[in-house]
Parts: sequence; structure tokens; C-alpha cells
Amino acid sequence: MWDQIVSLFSIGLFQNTIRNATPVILAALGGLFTEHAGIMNIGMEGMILTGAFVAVVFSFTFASAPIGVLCAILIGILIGLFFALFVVKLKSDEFIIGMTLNTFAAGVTVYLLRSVFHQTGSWVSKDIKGLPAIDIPIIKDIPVIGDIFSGYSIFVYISWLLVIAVWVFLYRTPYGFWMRASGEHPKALETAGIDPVKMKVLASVLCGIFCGMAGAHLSLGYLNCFTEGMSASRGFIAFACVVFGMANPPKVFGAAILFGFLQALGIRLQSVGIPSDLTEAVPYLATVLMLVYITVMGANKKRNRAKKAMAVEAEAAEQ
Amino acid sequence: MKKFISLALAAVMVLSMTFFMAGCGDKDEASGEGMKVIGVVATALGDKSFNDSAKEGLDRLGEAGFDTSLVECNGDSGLWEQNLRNAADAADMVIAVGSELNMIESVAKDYPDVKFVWVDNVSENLKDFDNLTCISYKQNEGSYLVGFIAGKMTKSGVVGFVGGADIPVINDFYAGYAQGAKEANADVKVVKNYTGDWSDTDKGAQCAQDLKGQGADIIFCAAGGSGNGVILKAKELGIKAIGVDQDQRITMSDYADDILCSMVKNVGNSVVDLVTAYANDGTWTGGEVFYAGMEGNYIGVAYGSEDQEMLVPQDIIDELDQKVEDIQAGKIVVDTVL
Repeated sequence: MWDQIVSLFSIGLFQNTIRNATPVILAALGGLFTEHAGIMNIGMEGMILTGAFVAVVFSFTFASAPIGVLCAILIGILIGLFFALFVVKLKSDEFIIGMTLNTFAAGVTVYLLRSVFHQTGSWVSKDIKGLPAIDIPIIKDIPVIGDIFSGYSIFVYISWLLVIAVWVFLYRTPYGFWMRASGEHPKALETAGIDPVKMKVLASVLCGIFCGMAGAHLSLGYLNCFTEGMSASRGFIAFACVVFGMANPPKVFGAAILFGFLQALGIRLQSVGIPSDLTEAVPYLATVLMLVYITVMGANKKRNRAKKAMAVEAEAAEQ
Repeated sequence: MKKFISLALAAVMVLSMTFFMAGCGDKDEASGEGMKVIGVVATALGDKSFNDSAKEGLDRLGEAGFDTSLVECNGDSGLWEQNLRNAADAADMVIAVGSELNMIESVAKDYPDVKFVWVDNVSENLKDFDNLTCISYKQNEGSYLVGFIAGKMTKSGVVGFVGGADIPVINDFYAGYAQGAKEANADVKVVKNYTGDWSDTDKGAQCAQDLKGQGADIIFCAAGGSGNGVILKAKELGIKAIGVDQDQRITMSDYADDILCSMVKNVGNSVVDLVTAYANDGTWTGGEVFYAGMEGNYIGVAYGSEDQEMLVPQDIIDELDQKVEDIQAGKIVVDTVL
């Protein structure tokens, strides 16, 4: 039994954890901008899918991965502006616009793939240039750790740096402060002379950029191909991570890593004879449990705080 | 406004009547060459294996003068029964592609004049239906052959298997594969994984990576589109893949170097043969299972086109020919779970 549990923790498990987590981290970092700006953004799924498709199209056309990535980011900006136009300017329902974005992306990518590029299902070609794997000097020579942390596409490392960058932006710069205020108390921001609409548009565009990168990483960072519906709910998982991590970048990062780990564990669990139908459910079961845990902890904290406050009050009354 | 709505409603009703009648008219005239055949695919085209093979068969029928069309359900189980019924409304023969379409019995019951072919599964009360026939493939025999190749060619002594889901059809692949590998090399270890998905390519790649971690250096992928991830990842992992259903050295020719061979499950051939037999002289095996095996080339091993470099040594192929004969003569009985 113990041997079996130990055998689960192979190097591949951790490699797949990072593999699963990276697109989710990138998208979730984008999603937390909109979350802070007070927009419920469920359109990340569509943004990722479009980014993945555009990255492959331009990587194929120009035989260059950087151009593919650049175009994915550009299309991300466009979608972000489009999203902002409807949600922020025209004040339509963000849930419906997000859903529309997802459905539209799923349809239009399949349509273009089949009608323009004459491919069905998946688009596999040697001309789709992928992002090169990067070996980190020194670390790559350390056994185990080198295998786990070295040799991914550049976006894996960028995503880690971005976690810090986004945190600094949100909590240490005036723009981040304004962005958070635009969601929490737009009236106050207006009184301070800053237009909350502008901050919301900025959040939406940033989300588009990050999701575009997530898509580009998904299609060019691993297998250099595009598959219909290849975002495979990663946008929704990213949204779950944003909620899960309370839109705080390091916590969101942790949530995404946890998700990636559980998904990877699902595959590993099969090797000790647990039925695959059950292992498939592991990440989702764990999410529910974690959510319950967080809610209960949150409630406890509140209760403790209330108790403390009462004690202080009682003390004050005694005096 | 009210007037307009009622007018519009009337127009819609008249139009739909016309279409309905036109549909009926087509059906009466149709026979033999003008026969209307509709395929319903449970998942989606583009898997470069199972579904695409069925489509290729329908295309060939179309060239032969049949009136064919194809509907995809994209794995949406809510669409399966609907699309089967829609197809039955319009067609003389409905080809249900995918083992998931088990509501075919209830549909076949309601359309006694339409012929149904269920590809890749056998329905429970098949005997009660004279308008339904099922095609069952002897994928275990084909898998035995590629398992034999894998067992002979593995250097690590471990061969892998990636399945799409833990279901009988896929486990039938596995049963044959494991037996073949053991036959070639009694010490060989067979490891397996299921992607739980037929289109998530990256899942396939992760499964391959996991199996590689367990030592596998040759992996047979029977997982539709998600199995293609094994092939795409093969070079990076330093393994060789074995394709499935179609000759994947041809359908994924850019990656032919990473594919040893493919276990061909020629869905297209079986559909074409069944439909043309019915159209030509009314041969119809309603209520019976059509077992598609190595005879008739429904199941076999493909090594790519002639100008591609052969990755399987000739002496193994010679041994394999002997195995084929033995299986056909009944000297070797291949395990099955069906």
C-alpha cells in the first residue's frame, strides 16, 4: 500500500502538474483583473480558444512562433475591447456576453478551420512552429529538480514572473488601486477624479491579453497543434481559481497549481488500479471539498472576530 | 401586429408542410442507386481515425451514386437521439457511428421501414429487430498483431496502451494487445491508461508521459483524437507510437517517423460493403451481428505508404503473416472482452 502511494509521486506527476496549471494560471491572472474591476467574466474560455487558434494560424502562415504569439495577444486585446464595449460601455449583462463569447469562439474556430484551412478535428502540421523549450542553466543539471523545473516553453516561466508582477501592479501601484476601487466603490473613484469606466476597460483588455497568451501557450507550447475545443473548460477552471483564490495573485496561483496537480494525479491514480471514471472526478471532488473548507474557515474567522469584538466591548463596558 | 404574426405563422406552416411532403416523396422513389444514406457520428469528425474512416466510407458511397450525408453530434449526448430520429425521417438507411448510440433500439422501433446499422457495438435485444444490424469489429485480433510487433520491438521490456475510456470496445483492444505482446516476449510488461476523453489531445500526451515514466517505449493509442497526443509527443519522449483505425502514418504523415504502424479498423470498408450489398441484391442481415475481421480487410496492420521508410523489420512482418494465418485457422484464439 505504502509503496503504491510513493510510486504515485513520479517526476511525470509534477511535470504534468505544471503542464496543466500554466494555461490556467495565465488565464486566471487575466480573470482576476476583471474580478477586481467588478466584472463577472466567464468569457475566458472563448478568449483562450480564440488565442490558441490565432496563434496556430499565424505560426503556420509565417512559420514563426513569436508572430503567432504576438497575433494571439493582439486578438486578445481586440476581444477585451469588444467585451468592454458591451459590458462596460453598453452595460449589457456580463454573463450573457461571456457566454456568447464562448459559443462564438467555439463555432467560429471550427468553421474557419474547416472552411479556410480544410482540416477537421485537429490541425497537425510540421509547419506550425512551436515555442522552443528553455533549459535553465545550473538548475537543469540538478537531478529531479532539473527534470521538474527545467525544459518548458517560455510561458511557464513568464507565468510565474507575472504572478509577482500582477501582485505588484494591483497592490503597489495607483493603477492597481484604482482598478480595485472601480469594482468595489466606483462612486468613490469618480469623486477622486478617476473614470471607473476607463479602469474597467483596462481590466478587460488586460484579461484579453493574458487569455491570448494562455491560448498561445496551449497550442504552441506543448504539441504544436490546434484541436477543436482544445481549451477544454480551462477558462472555467481559471474562473474557479480566481474565485477560489479570492482574486489574490499568489493564492490564485496556488489554486491553479492545486488544480493541475489533482488532474495529473487523476492519471497517475489509474496506475494503481483505481477506475478511470473515478480518477476523472478527482479534481472536481477536491474543488468542492476545498470550497467547503474555505467557506467554513471564513465563517469561523468571522465568528471569532465577532467574539473578540464582543469581548472588547464587554471590557469597555466594565471599565 | 397580430395580423402579421398570424400571417407569418400560416406561412411557416405551409412551408413546413411542403418540405414534409417533399421529404416523403423522395423516400418513395428512392431505391438502389438513389438510396439515401445518412451517417450519424456520436462525437465529431477529424479524429483522423475511427470517425474519419466512417466518413471516408460514406464519401465512397456518395461517389457510387448514393445520396449520402453525415451529421455530427460533437459528443453532445442530448443530440444523439434527436439526430438519429431526424436522420430516420429523411433516410432509407441510417448508419449510427459510435458505441455510445445505444438509444438506437428505441428509434429503430419507431421507424420499421428504415434500415439501421449500428457501428461498433451490439445492441441488447438485437434479435427482436429485423431493421437493425450491428457491426462488431474483431479489434482484438488486429490489436494482437500490433501487440506482437510492440512486444518484439520494445527495448525497455515495457509496452504501453492509451485508451479513450474504460469501456468494453476499448478493453477489447487492450486484451488483444496485451496477449500479442506477451506472445512475442513472455517477459514483457503491459501498462495502460485511459484519457477519459476522445478529443483532448493534451490528455493523450500526458498519458503517454505517464506511461513513459513507467518504462514504456512503445505505446498503442486507441483513443480517437486524444490519442493523437501520444503521436505528437512521441519524439519528445523518445518513444514510438502505434496508430489506430486508419493508417495514421498517412493521415498524420508529418509525424510518420514516430509511428511504427497502425492497427487498421476499416469502418469505411465495412459500411460500404454492407450498404452496397443491400442496394445490389437486397442482402440484409437484420437482427444479426456482422462480424468484421481480418477476412475482407476490415481489420489489419498498415505500415504507411510505399515511399515512407519502413520502421518494422521484415523478419517481424514475416512472423506476423504466420500469426495471421494461425488466427484465421483458429490455431490462436485471441482474448476478447466482448
